[in-house]
Amino acid sequence: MSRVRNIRFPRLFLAAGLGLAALLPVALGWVGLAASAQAGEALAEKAIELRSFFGTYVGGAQMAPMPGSGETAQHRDLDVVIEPFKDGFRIVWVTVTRVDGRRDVAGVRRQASEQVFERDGKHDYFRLARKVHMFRGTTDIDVIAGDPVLWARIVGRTLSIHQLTIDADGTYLVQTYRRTLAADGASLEIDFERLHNNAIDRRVSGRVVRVRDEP
Amino acid sequence: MSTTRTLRIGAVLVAALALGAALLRPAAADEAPLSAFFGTYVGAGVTTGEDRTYLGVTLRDLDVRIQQSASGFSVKWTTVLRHEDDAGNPHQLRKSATRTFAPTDRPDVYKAVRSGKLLDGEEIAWARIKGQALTVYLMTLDNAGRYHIQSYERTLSETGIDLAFSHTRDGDRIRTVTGKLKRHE
Repeated sequence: MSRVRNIRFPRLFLAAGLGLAALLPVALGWVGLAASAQAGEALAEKAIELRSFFGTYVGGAQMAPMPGSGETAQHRDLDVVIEPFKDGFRIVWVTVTRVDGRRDVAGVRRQASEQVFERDGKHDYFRLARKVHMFRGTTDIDVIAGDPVLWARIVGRTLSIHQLTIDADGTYLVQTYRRTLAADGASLEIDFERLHNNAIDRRVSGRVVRVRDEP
Repeated sequence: MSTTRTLRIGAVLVAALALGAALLRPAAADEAPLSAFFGTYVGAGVTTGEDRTYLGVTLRDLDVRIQQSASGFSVKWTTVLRHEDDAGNPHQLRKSATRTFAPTDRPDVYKAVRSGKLLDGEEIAWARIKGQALTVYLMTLDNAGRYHIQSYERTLSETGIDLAFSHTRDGDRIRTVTGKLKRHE
């Protein structure tokens, strides 16, 4: 019996060895796949050129009410212009909040905003260009006193703009606008979220299409 | 009296007045006075989240000391991470940090003495008192512009403080810790 065992064990080892040898290419294949998947992710994360976003867009968005907020869905008309400014960009947008789907009745709100971002020399993001006062020059931002801090970045095909503010009671708000360029460059998917003291309390999503800017 | 000495005395008086104002500030609504948090607390907490650094680590020993400082208060906290099945050898990873805060013009809001400039890659830190809770916030930006916010909410309880920690990255909550700490005399 023991003799049989002595013969069987080498065979078992041989079979196991052959099995492992057969599995090796498969294992290497998995490693290769994993490596290529990582490379794919890295490729997907590669930021597109800033200039790809330059253009004029019009469209709309819906504010989705957060559960338990008591808010109702709102439609907003959007008008966005992104254009070059030095080594950064200028973004101008207008939001019109309709009343019961109409924009020709009392209560319609219009908000217009313009921001200029410059490429940061040391980091992979853009920072809001600081306004230079004629007499005081530039003044330091004191975020904890309530001054907003804004920065922007490009990840993949998405241009994100973040704004941090700290309220008078010490809670914080981070508002993030993500504008993702479609593969054909003809439109931007818009996603907005507001993080208020560790919880997201507002989301807006929509789409704008590139239009020809008439003089 | 030399000018330097006069300035020094003046600075000490201003700091003392600021601290006195912070400590004696009438509690807005039901805000606990800052001095109510002073003490040393020891306890344990449970971690949840998907942060790879802490994968498999579910328990942590917590130790915090909140004390009066020259211009406000300081918080020193120590965390010892240990594996759930390895209670006999808890010193897996030990982290310790201290921040000192001074009052601001905003009631019950404090700013870290060494709070930096966020867009220069430096940490900003602040604290607030709301009700019976003292919350410390630490925020940084990484090189790619992703933001990280860590908040430590410490709420007074009958025996000490309850901790609720949260780490948020780019809007996603990646780790939370809840724990109970007893006041250590």
